[in-house]
Amino acid sequence: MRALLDLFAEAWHAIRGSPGLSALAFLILCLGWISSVTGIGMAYVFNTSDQRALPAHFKIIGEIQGQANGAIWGADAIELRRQLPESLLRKSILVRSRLINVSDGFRPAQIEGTWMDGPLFEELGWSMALGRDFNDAERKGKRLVMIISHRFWQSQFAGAADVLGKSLKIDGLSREVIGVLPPYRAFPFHEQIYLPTQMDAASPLTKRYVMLVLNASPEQVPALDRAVQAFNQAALKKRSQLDIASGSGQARQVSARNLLETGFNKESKLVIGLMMFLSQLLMFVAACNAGGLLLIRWVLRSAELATRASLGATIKRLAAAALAQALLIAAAALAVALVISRFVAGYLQSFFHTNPNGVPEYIQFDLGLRGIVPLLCALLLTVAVVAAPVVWRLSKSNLNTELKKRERGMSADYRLGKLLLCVQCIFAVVSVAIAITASMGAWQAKRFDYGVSGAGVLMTTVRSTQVAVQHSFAEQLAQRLRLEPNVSAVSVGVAVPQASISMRELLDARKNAPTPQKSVVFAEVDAFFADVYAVSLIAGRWLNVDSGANSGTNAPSEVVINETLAIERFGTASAALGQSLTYLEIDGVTKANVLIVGVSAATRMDAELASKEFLVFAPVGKNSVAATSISIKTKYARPQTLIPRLEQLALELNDAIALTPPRVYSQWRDDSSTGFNVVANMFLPVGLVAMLMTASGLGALLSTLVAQRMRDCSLRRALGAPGVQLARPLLQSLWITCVMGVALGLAIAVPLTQKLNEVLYSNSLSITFALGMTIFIVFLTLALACVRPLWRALHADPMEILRQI
Amino acid sequence: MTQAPMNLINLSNVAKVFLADEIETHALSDVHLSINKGEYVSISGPSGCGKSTLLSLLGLLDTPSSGSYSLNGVNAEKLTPNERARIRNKEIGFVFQAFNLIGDLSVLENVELPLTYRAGVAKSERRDRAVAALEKVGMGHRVSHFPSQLSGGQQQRVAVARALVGDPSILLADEPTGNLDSKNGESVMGLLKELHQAGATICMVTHDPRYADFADRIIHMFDGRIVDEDTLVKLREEEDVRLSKLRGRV
Repeated sequence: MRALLDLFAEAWHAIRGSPGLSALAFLILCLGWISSVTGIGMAYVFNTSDQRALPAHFKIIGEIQGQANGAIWGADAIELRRQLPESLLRKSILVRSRLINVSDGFRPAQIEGTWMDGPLFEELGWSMALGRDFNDAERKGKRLVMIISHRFWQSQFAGAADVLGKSLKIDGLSREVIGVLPPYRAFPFHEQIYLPTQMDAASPLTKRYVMLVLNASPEQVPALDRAVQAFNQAALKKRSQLDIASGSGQARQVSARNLLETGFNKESKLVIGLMMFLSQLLMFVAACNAGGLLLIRWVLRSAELATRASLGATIKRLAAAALAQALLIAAAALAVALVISRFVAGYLQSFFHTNPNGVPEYIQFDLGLRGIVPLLCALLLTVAVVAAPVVWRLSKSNLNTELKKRERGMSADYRLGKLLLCVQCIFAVVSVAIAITASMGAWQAKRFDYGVSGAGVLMTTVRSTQVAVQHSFAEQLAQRLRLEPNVSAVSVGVAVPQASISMRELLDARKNAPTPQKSVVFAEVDAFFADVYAVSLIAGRWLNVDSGANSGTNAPSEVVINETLAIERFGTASAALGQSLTYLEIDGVTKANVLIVGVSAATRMDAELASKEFLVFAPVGKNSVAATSISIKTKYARPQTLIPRLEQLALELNDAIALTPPRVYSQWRDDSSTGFNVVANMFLPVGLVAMLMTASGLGALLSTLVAQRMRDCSLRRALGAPGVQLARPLLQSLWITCVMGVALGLAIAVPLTQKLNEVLYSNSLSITFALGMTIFIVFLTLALACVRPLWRALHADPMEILRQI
Repeated sequence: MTQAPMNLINLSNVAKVFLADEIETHALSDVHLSINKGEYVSISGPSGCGKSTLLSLLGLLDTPSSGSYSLNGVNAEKLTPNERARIRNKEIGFVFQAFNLIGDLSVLENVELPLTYRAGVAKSERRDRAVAALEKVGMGHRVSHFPSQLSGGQQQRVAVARALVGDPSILLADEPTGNLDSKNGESVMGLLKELHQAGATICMVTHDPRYADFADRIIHMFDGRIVDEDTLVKLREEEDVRLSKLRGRV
C-alpha cells in the first residue's frame, strides 16, 4: 500500500513537473472520453425504449417504429393468424397503436394508445401496479374500460391513489380506468392508454397496418418461422399475379422478429454504427495522442529517467510510474467527461421525438452498474494505450548514454511519434469527411426547392376510430374556417403534407416502358389544396369537387401528377394529359385506375432529399380511415395568430375530438430536416475534435523536434542559413507522414461517405466536393499547427543558444 | 559464519567494445582491477581514455563485452536488469559531474529518492535518513529548497548526500568537480575525503591530477588500458614525439 502511494505520489510529481503537457493530455483524453461515453450512451439510448426485451419465443410481426419493412396490413394479419396452426402458438394477439382522442371534459388531446384483441399483459407476464387486467366481458366490449401507463397516471392524475374508477372520454366515449401499469412498462414502445377491442376484417383498426404478437412455445419457434415464410411465399405469388414488377413486392414481405431486434431502420443503423465507430476511434486516437504527449515528456526528461534508474529504480518501477501517471490523467479526464457527457447526451436527445405530455420517448442517459464495469475496462485499456509508448521507450533506453547527454537524438521516439501522427491524420480525414458530408446534407435540406409555397399556412390533423365522425368533424371545421375573415383557403386531405407515408405501387400499363421506379407518393387532397399551397400547374387543370371516384358516376378518379412522374412515364407533361394510371391501393391487393387531368411542377412536401419524387395528387377517398389533415391559408404574417380561434372552433364543434397541435407549414418543413441536422450535429464535433487532436499531435511532435534541434538550428542560423533551409529539414519528414496519413484516410473515407450519401441523401451530394474540402481543411489545420513551433525555431537567438554549448 | 571479502570490486580481463555503423571502438581492453573495502581510488587519464566507461561498468550501468566482474562477491555478468537495479540501489552511490538532481523535487525529496525504490523503508525513516545525510554534507538547512535555488557546489553536496543515504558499499564519483569552480571543487573534494576517513569506499574518476592526489591509490588509464605511472610517462613521451614530428612536417 505504501509502495502504491509512493508510486502515485511520484506520478503526481511528474504531472506537476510538466503542467502544460499534462493539461494537454488531460484535455485530449477528456474529449476522447466525452466522445466515447456519449457515443455509447446515445447508441444505448437509441437501442432501448421503455419496453423491456421480450423472451425469444415472443415474435412480433408488423410495423415497428414506423418502418415500412415488416409492416403487415390488417387483413393480411388476420389471414396469417387464421392460417397458423394452433399447435404452434400459445396465444396470438392483434395490436394496433395510434393516437387517440382523450378528453377530460376540458380540452381534448391526442395521446398514443394501444388497442389489443387479447390478454396481452397476461401473456407478457405484466401485473398491474394498481387495479387489474381486462376481463373477457370487457374484451368483448360489454363494458368500456381502459388501462393506463404509470407515466400517464403521474401526468394526468398526479399519481392519485383513487384513480381506479375515474373516467376519461376516449374518441368521444367515456371509459373507466381499471388498471395502472408498473413504471417503465409500455407496449410496444411508449403508449400511455390501453384499450381492449375485437379486431375483425370489418373493424376500422384493421384497415391499416397492424402488429401481430405471437407467443409460441420455445420449441415451436423454428416451425413458426417456417409457417410465416410459407405465408410470405403465398402472398408474394398472389401479388405477382397482379402484375407487380419483381422486387417491389418484397417491401410487404413480413417476418417474425423479436421486438428490439428491429429497433433500427437501415438509415439509423448506418448513422449509429458510424457514430459508434468514430466515437470509439476518437477515444483510441485520443489515447494514442496522450501517449505521444507523455512520451515527449519522458524523452525531454530522459536524464531524470536515467538518474532514477541509476539510483536503483527498476524498469518495472519506472513503467509502473508511467502507468500511474496515465491512470491519474485518464481517470480525471473520465470523471470530468462523464459529467459533460450527460449534458451532451441530453442535448442530442432533445432533437428526438417527445411525447405529447412532454416526456422524452427514450430513456434518460444514466450510468448504472452495467455501465461502470465496461467503463472501468475502457479506462484500463486507455491507460495501457497511453502508457505503452513510454514503457516501450523505457525498454529501449540506454542509461549510460542518457546520463551523459542531457539531449539525445530521439530517432526511435520520433519514428513512433510519426506513426501516431499518421494514425491521427487517417482518423482526422475520415471524421472530417463524414462531418462535411453530413453538414452538406443538412445545408441542402435547408435550401431545397420544394416547388410549393406554404407561406401563411397553418395545419393540423384530426383522427377518430369513428371514421364518419372524423370526416364530418373535419369538413364542418373547414366550413367554419372558410367563414373566418383572415382565412383565404382551407383544404382537407389525408395526412397531407406528411403524404410520404401513403405510398402506392404503380402497375406498368406499357410493357416496354423503362420503369425503374414503381413506388409513388399519393397525396390525397381536395380541390382547394392548390390554392392553399400555391401548387403551380404546367398542363391541364387542378382537381375539382367532382374528381373523386365516388361522385356518382363510373368514371375513374381524376388525378394530377407531378412533372417528374409525367416525364418518366409519358415523355412530356402535355402527353400525360388524358392518360390513365393503374395502381395498387394501399392494401396491396385492390387495383384502381385513375385519369390524369393535370400536371403540376416538380413538387415535394417534406425535406427528404431524393432528387426525384413521383407524386400523384388524388382526391380524398370518402372511406379513408387515415388521419384527416386540415391546411389553412391565413392572411396573417404569423399564421400562429389563428391558433386560439381554430381551437375554439374545434371545441365548439366537438369537445371529444382533439386537434394535433397546429403547426406552421414552413416550420414543420424545416423541422422535417431535423434528422439531417442531428446527423450533422453528431458528426461535426467529432470532426472538430479529430482536427484538434491531429493538430496538437503534429504541433507537439514538431515542438519536440524543434526543442531537440534548437542548437542545430542556432548553429545553422549563425552560419547564415535562411529560414526556408531551417524549416525544410524540420518539416520534410513530418509532412510526408501527414500526406501518407491523409491518403490512407481518404481510402477509408471515400466508401464511408459514399454509403452515407447513398443511404441518407439518395446520392444527391457531391462527394468529390466533400473530399476536396476535407483535404483543404485538414492541410490548413496542420499548417496552422506548425506555425508556433516553426516561429520558435526561426526566431532562436544564435548567440544565446550557442553560448550554452 | 562467512567473512566478508576484502575485495569489494574485482575486474578480470574486462573489455568494452562499442559498435557504431559497423565500426568497432575499443573503449576498454584487458582491464584488471581490484578495489578493497575502505579504499579511496581515483581513476585518472586524458579525455577519451575510457575512465567514464570503466565507471559505468563498475556502477552496473553498462555491461562488459568480455571479462568478469564481481561486486561484493556477486558475479555481475549474469544479473538481470532488475537485479542490477536492486544492487545499484543497495550497494552503489553515484555522484555525477552534472549533479543530475531532479528539478521539480525538493532537496529532501531528491535525497530520499533511492530509499523510495527500496522496499520496507517507512516514510518517516526515509525522511530521518535523508536529513541525516544532508546534515553530514552540511546541507541540513536547505531541505525544502529546490535544486535551482542552490549553487553548483551546494547541488553537488546534495548529490553526495543522495549517494550516501542508502548506505552503499561504494561511492562512484564521475568527475564530481567537473562543473564546479575551484573553491567549490575543493570543498567537494574535502567532503569526499571526510567520508573516506569515516570509512566510505570511494572510486572517483577525474582528469585533474590535483584532485586525483586526494585518493589513496591512483589508477592511470591510457587508450582504454590501465597502465602504471612509469608506462604512462613513457607513453606520453612517445605521443609527444609523434606530435613534434607532425608539427615539423606541417
